[in-house]
Amino acid sequence: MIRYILTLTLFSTLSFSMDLTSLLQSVQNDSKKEMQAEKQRLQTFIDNKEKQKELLNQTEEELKKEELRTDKLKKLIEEKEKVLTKKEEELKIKAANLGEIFGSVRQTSSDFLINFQSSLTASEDSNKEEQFLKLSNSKKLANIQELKEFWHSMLDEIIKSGNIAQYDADVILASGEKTKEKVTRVGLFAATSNGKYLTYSNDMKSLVELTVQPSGSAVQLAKDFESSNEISNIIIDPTRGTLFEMIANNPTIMDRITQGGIVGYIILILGALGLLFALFKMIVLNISSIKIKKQMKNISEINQDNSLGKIAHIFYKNSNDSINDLEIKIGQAILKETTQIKKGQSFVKLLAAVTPLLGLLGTVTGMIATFQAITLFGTGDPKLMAGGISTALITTVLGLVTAIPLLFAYTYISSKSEELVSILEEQSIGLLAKTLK
Amino acid sequence: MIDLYIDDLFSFFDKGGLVLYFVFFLAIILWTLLIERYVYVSFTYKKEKKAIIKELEDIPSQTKFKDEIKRYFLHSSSFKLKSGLDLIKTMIMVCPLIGLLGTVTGMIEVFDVMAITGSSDVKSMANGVSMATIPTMAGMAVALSGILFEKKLELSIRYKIQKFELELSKVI
Repeated sequence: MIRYILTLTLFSTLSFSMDLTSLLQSVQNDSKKEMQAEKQRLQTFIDNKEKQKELLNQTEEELKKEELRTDKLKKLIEEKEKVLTKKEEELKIKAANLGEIFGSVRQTSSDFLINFQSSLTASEDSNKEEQFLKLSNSKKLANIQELKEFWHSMLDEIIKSGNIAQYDADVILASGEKTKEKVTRVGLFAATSNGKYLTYSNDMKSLVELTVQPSGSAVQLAKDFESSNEISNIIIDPTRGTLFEMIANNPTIMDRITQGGIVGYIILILGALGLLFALFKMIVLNISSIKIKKQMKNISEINQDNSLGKIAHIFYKNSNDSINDLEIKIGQAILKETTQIKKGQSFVKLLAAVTPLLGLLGTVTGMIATFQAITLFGTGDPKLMAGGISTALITTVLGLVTAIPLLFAYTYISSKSEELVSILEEQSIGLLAKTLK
Repeated sequence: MIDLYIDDLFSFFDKGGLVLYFVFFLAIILWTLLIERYVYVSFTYKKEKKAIIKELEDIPSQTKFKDEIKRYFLHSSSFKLKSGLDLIKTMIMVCPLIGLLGTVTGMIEVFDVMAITGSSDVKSMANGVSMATIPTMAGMAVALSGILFEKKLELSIRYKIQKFELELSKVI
């Protein structure tokens, strides 16, 4: 067995060694080929070397040339840049001036527009507003034509503000109607049509009649002014409409009375009551006075519808009595008539005394309201205080206004009744005695 | 020259406002009444007195109602002398009241200005202040001038009545 194995091993070793030799041979062959190729490449490289050198030289020359050109160009750029900055500076200076001009044009035109919008002259030519509006809103620079137009229209406006003009314009009446009317404009200060004062409203692009006109004489003046060609008086508003607006703010008599509050109403009611009563009393006294005077003229014909007649009746009836009895009887009759005449007189006097007191009451309550306003809001705003103060003052006014006529009425009533009483008291006996003798 | 004074007067009335016209009106009436009274007391009354005394001389002095008749004449003449005096007194009383009215309306003007402008600018309030002070002053002046002559008138009337009473006693 071992023999076999040995024989096999020997055999296999032999075959292996055979294989290796062939491998070696092929490797050697390959390397020989490579060496040959290498040699060839080297040869070509050596061959090319000369060529490369030539190429390098050529390239270097080119580089030099280009560098020269670069320098030249750089210099040129520098030069040009200098010129450019110079030019730019020039441009900047010129543009700066212009920019300022356009800024101020925009500013001026927007300022002017605000004035123009509230001005009475706007009613004459509404196209002008667009012009100012365009200039003040535009982002572009205005051209010379627009600039010229702008200052021309400014000049025109200045001229118009100093003259008087008549023209047709849209007018909104107090009733709300919109019509075309002949308008007379006095500078920037007043515009009238048919004696009515107007104000310009930019929202409605037309003239508006003032809801509260100046006093009647002013309206008449305006009417005369419109119709006459000569120099005449007219009322103008130097504040361009502010004063005319204030007229509307002025409280009317009704506003005043409501300001007076409850105390004011009480005073007015008492005053009206007192005056009515006084009037009634005056009429009654006058009627009886007329009757008594008539009786005095004709004492023999006794008419019992008056006080003197009644007394005379008693006198004649008892004329045969002793003088003492007669005096007592007549005295009784006179007393009866006197109370009749003097009745109600003190009521008028009371009211005349009470109304100023009530006015004082209103003053004090108004002052209380004022001081309450001061404690709540401080003294900073005079408007808050003014409300209470006007209540205080109005009640005083109302008190005085009712007391003064009441005082006159009382004087009249008291002097009239004094006259009648004196006729009855002192004169009746004398008068009758004279007739008897 | 006169124009200047008239202008001054008008501006005075403008400053004083509506109430000043009332005071002016009242002053005119007051002085008309006062002058009328003076004229009556010093001229017309004498004539009337003479007529009464002449009439009395016709009455027999021993009548039943001697005192009554005397009193009748005395009273009627005193009544005539005093008529209108009450109105004068009332007017003198009312003048300061109207002045006060002017003060109050002027103050209302001042506070209106304050309420509208919302400021306490003294210049804008000056108009109201002059409206407040001028009528007050005018009312006082009228009342004072009136009261002086009214008192004098009253005294002279009282004196005249007493004198007349004495004269009557002599006649009857």
